[in-house]
Amino acid sequence: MERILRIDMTRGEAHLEPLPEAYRLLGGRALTSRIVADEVDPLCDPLGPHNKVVLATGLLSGTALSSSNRLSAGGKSPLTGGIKEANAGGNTALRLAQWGIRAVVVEGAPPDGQWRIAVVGPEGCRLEPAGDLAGLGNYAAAGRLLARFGARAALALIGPAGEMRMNVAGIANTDPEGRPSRIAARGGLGAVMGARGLKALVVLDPGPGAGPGMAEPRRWREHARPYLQELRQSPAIARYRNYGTASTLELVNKLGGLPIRNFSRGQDAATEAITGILMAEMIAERGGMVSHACMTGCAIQCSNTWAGPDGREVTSAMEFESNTLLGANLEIFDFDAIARFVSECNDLGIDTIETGAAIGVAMAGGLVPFGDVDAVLDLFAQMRQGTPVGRLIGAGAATVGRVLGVREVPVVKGQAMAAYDPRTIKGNGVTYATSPMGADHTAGNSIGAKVDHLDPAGKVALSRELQITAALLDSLGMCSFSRAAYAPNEGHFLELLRARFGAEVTAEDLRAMALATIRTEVAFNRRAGLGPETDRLPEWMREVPLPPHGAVFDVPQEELDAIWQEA
Amino acid sequence: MAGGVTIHLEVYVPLRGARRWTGTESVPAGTTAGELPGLLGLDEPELAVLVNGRYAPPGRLLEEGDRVAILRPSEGG
Repeated sequence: MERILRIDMTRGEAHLEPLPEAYRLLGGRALTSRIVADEVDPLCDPLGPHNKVVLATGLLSGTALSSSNRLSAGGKSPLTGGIKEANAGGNTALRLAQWGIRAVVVEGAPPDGQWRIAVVGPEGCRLEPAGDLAGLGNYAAAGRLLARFGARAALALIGPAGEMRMNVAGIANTDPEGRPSRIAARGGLGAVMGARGLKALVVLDPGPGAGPGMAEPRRWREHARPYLQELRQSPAIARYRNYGTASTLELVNKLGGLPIRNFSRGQDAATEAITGILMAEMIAERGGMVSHACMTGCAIQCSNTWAGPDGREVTSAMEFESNTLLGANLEIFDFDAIARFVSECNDLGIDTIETGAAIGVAMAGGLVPFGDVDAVLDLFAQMRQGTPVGRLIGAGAATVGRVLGVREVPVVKGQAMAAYDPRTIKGNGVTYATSPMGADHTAGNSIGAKVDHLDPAGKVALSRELQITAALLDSLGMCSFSRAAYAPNEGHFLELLRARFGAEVTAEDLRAMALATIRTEVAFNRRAGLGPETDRLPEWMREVPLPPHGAVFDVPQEELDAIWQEA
Repeated sequence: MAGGVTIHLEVYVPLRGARRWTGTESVPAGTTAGELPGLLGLDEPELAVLVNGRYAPPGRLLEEGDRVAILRPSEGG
């Protein structure tokens, strides 16, 4: 019997509830969005007591099945004002599923304003005071918690930014070695958790043999094998294992869609200093890990660790989005500087994309110069201290643009775009505009499609299919990179679901579940006041040409408006 | 090369002992974008071939002065 863990921060109580039958075949994003839609008033204050944080495991989470243990976090976003789901690797979902917990609902707020942790173990869940952790960065807080609860415990925690309720705050999850580096970063859900007064969720290791109930274990083993085989043989997966995501930079740069100097250029020869192929070489030379699993059992292993010139680990992980938003977008073409920024983001518990975009807008507004590493480090210090400037950056790119009078702010629904300029990568522009998640590439990333990205034709249909697939994988708890192995093995995945739940599930059922999730999210946004007029890119991106192609975003708005009508 | 076309080439996978190879290359007339990796001896599967900053269909004939980039396809997560 799977359950929902409900943590009432107002009363300081936690209890387990049976999983409602209506939620039995919902997981990950499908479940967070359904619970948020069912339980959260769309008009509530995102940081007020009526919002909730929902953490959900995927339908396939809880076993060693590769790449199946993403944790979805959901709630009403203080950044977009709409519904939000952000997911991350790490071991939190694995541990929760091993205890038979499909979702955690954190609600209310402590009347005494004191910080607490919630500890999940054999007795269920208990709340404990956490005043000693207040103000600590994620590395120090995780170190203390793992020393106390065991290195095999999993943590979902917030850093100082979440405590200060910054819009850039995410929920950090510990990787298999205990690094708090896997952040459900987008949309400010760390601030929502901070507003609940919850510093960390600690999930103890249930020990060997623990796992979710399995209707047909033999069937599960039989159908897990071909998927793993596909992962091991796939050239696409091999590229992630050998180079991580960082090599995307040279591709997007060559396509002319890389955000450089606050999205003012799409290509720059200076990016040669931060290519993925160079990064892999430098990691190997310095003794870092070129390949690393961010969650137990993952065969993709796209993560890495970065070491400084002295060979000591600086951070994990160096990824395409971070290298671009915290590097090229700021005209900083230096891996060691970017690694320090990523480490700061991990410790503060913030989104590298939103933060990089906010700093880029701040640079365009003259707050600090482009290319100035020390100035960026000072901004991080000010965020940690909670100075007015630090809180400005922490409010996100849209707020920075309004305060500094910058027109060229790369946001949709108040959320910053990822590392694909939509004037060139137009399929991602459609996703940014039409996803209920705001400008979130993970909702439907078209860069993998070998199409003419500059041609607006067909991009709505492309984005729609990618968004449905993303919602599906997010609901299974699967990493988006498993997509390469999912498509040729869909039949095996259906068998895995049958083995897990004893239910006949068809491909059409899964597609319908994914589409229903998106429609639920769109409906929530409409009730929250985010009408169709918010499903669009900023005006300047249809008017200001992007070098080198001189491209503007020219997918007709009426096509964007009809995207879900035609699904 | 007689009867060939000259292209500007950037290769982001190891070629001729270099991590990243850049230069001009003469290829036989009639060479297509899809044939180019094999012609260069690149055996990695699924390489992306961009011509003048756009994905080129495999059958696209290379033309004099084309700017061609060969890279590993990838995406961020």
